[in-house]
Amino acid sequence: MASRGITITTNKAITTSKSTLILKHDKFLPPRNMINEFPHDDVLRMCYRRHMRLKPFISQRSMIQTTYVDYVRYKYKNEDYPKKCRASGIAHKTPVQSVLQQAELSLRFCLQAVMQVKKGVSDERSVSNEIRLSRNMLKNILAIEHEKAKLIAQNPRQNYPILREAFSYISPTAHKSSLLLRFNALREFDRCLIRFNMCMGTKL
Amino acid sequence: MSKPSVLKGCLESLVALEKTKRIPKKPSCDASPLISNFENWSGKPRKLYLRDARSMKRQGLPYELNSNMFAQLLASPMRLDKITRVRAPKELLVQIKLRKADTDISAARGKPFELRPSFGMERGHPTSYVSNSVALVHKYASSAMKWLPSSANSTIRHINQADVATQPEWYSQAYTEQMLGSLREALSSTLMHLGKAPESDPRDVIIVCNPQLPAISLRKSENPFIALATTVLNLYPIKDPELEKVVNNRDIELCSSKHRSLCFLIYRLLAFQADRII
Repeated sequence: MASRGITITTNKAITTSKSTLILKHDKFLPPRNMINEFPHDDVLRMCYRRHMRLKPFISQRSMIQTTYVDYVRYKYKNEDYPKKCRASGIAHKTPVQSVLQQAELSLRFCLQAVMQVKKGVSDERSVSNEIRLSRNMLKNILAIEHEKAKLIAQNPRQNYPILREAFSYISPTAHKSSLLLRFNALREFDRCLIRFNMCMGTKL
Repeated sequence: MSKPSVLKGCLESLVALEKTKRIPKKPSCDASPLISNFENWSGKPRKLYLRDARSMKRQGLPYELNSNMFAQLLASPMRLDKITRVRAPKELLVQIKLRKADTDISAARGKPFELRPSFGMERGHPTSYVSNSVALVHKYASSAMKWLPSSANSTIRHINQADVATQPEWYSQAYTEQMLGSLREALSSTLMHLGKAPESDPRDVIIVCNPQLPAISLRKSENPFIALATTVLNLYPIKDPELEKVVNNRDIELCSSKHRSLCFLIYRLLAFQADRII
């Protein structure tokens, strides 16, 4: 094991005693002006592929990596996000982002969550604060996804439609049903997340 | 190969053993791939390294998370909700603290400890969390003893359940009143200092008191470089005449990173009461 303070520098990365800092980012970043230059489906595929490339950055534990992969796959393949927003009943008068913009901004959010800024540069404090916030948010989103998957595994016939298809757990009248009251923590979280998405233009 | 020829070869090699030297093969690459691709098997957590702060804005989100109230709420550490047994960020839950009781009220009943909700997210004292919903808390408040923090029953400090005082009404009526009192104070003190705040602060939260708006809504942002939408917190559903008088039918614009505790307090109160309002 490397002792504290030893670093090994290669062409692609700097490895310190705590982490491997990747220097070449081209493989992970979306190309410039992607939305205008590529067809619709290709852009989605490019974002999806880059999301998957971030898998080893999210965590070293295979369980969290699996949760992340499942989450991204569900988001791209199965989820009906407009239906979820409608079910939540959150009123908004904000400009509606296109699906591609939402996909790109979500990818950028995930990229931001796995960044680390060099120590001692100007603005280091505010930038690392932003990075820390996005990393904590992503961790929490994955933890909530894990809770949802656990609940679905307990009783798929009842919980899958509630959590993944009809989104009835998120509706403003959910407190009237004792069945849906059980999902109160998930409801609060997802309502906050939808509002966050509206502010930032993402689709998390 | 026949036996005699093998024997001959063996003898020859033994005789010539001292003279021959094995020349090692030269590797085809300059550095071993073990070293040149060390990042692949270093086994350390990976990060994308940025050498300057500006490239973060180019590669990451173009908006500021620090000044977004929802980002702050969602990024708070996860705690277990004792009612639904699901983990959630602690800012979205009600904090319950086990403390020493006030002598004049509970001592008469012979209970030295009390289990009470606390709204300020303070540190210290054994703590547990329950859902921030008046419907759920009201439903389960009769079995509030189940919400006793698990650290109260460790091997070092064993607290008997009979020594803890708790009442169902502390979780709904008294809790709301406590929050309201603190909200009135915080809002009026904020309003006093609001005029002195510099103009450069981003105003991303608007407090209104309007019967036509929902409790929490979003409005198109005037400064699209910070966020696409501004949060509107409506105090009308709380139905408190004193607050309505303080707001006085105007829009109070706040900077959420400067007045974080006030914004969180309003959010928590609106979310707590949401089930009762609708």
